Amino acid sequence: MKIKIYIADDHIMFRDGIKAMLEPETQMEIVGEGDNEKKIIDDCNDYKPDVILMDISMGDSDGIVITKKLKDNLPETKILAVSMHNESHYIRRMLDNGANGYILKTTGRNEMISAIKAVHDGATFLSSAVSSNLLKSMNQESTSSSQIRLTPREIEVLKMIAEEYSNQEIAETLFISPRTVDTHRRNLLEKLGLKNTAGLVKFAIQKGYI
Amino acid sequence: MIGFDKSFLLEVISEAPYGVIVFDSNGIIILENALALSFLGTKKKSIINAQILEQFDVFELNELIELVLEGERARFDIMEMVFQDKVLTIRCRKTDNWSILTVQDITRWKNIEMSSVQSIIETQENERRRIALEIHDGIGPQMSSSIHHLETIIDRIKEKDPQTASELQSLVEVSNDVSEELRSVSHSLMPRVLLDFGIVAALQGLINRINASNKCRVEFIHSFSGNELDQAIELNLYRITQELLNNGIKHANATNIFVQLVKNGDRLNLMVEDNGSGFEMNELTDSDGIGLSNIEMRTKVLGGELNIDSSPNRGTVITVDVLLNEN
Repeated sequence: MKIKIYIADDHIMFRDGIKAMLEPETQMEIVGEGDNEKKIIDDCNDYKPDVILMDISMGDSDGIVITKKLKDNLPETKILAVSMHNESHYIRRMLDNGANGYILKTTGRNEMISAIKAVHDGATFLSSAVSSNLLKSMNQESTSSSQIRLTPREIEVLKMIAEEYSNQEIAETLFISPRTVDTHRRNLLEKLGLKNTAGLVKFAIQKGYI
Repeated sequence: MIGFDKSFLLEVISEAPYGVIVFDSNGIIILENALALSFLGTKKKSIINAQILEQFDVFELNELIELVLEGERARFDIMEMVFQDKVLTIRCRKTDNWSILTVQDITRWKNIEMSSVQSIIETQENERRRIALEIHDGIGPQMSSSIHHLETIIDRIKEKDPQTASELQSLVEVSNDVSEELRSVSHSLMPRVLLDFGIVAALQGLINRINASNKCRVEFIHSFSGNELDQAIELNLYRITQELLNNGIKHANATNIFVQLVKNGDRLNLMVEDNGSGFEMNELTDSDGIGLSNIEMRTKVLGGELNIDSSPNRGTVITVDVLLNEN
């Protein structure tokens, strides 16, 4: 059985490139192509392809949205994102909506063919650049959510507030304007979820800053 | 006190197209016209015999008036001063016995200037967006598909003609570089992720790329999800941050920069702190860079407040405070 492939991309030249590239592959056949949401969804419901190569930014149509709609209807169909975007937000949204793989348009021929085979076999396939961006963003999340970061200057300001220095005194000591001291103070309150200076003093003591 | 008929003088200044206040060497007001009273927004019929220092609640102005009263200065000009809901130009000239303060309302001109600055920025950004999308969604994929074509050909001929195949392979590599270059040009013109996912995602991306280059360690701290903002605010704040990071790395040689985006009620505060070389605040002139004046312009367009703090070897901290319209 040949793998039935559908190409969803708004650039005819890109679709032609993929067709030319997959032509020598005897176990694959292109069953259709589309450049907008309506055509892609109608075609896929008709042709029931095994693998859909899905672009993300297609003019007014959005591959992320289309993926969600197709997966609701055709859960068995594998969707491989083929996009110019390598930022984690696109990757995550695509995977959240049910995509089985994500490769970049700059991906070479061999990798594209492996990716199609892998998702067809039920595996998840990510280009190396894609998986490294994804990992990076997950790392960032775990570090930023575990603790609210204060900058060194904020800690200095916090200490001085706790030691009852006035804005003017803090400003002179740290070579910044009273206005900036005030901004630091407001940001500290907001970031730490505190209501007033008393809260800041308590926090500074708890954390051992003074 | 005054050498000639006071009613004559009053008549003259009442016809002047700007506010006039005359005060003596103790700061006691001795002459005024109706326009001056209207700029002050006072309900009083007259401020004659009142103290000039108590009329405007503006620190910078009162400081200058004090210098004039103390005889340290004979004149000053404030080209732009925001007072209540107006923008005023204030000039002060000291004569032997009294000082003359003239006040001009330039609000209308400032508004015209602001809307033209705004439309210049908008036009420029629209054009950038158009070109960036053209590259990202048009030329980029076309480049990729040419590369795919080449790879297909290489695959077909590599056994019969390895020489040509390897020549084509180096063409593929060059094309990949061009492709990467196009991506980064498109990205600096208009980051697609800003349009699709908002400022937090876009700044994170920008900062990740800087950190990947190992020139400088940038940390991003934000206290809100940031997807509910007006696009003009996002775009201007993004550009401001881009410019500040650029200044910090290229001009101040900073090795550590903190970027913070903190939402505080209906205000959004952007704060960029660096540990770079810093500068003397009074040496900050126009020549110090299109950079800062761009930042100033964009802040004004947002109706925000810009604050710059720097001193040599102590780094720089710049804040932009923007009022959000919550609809």
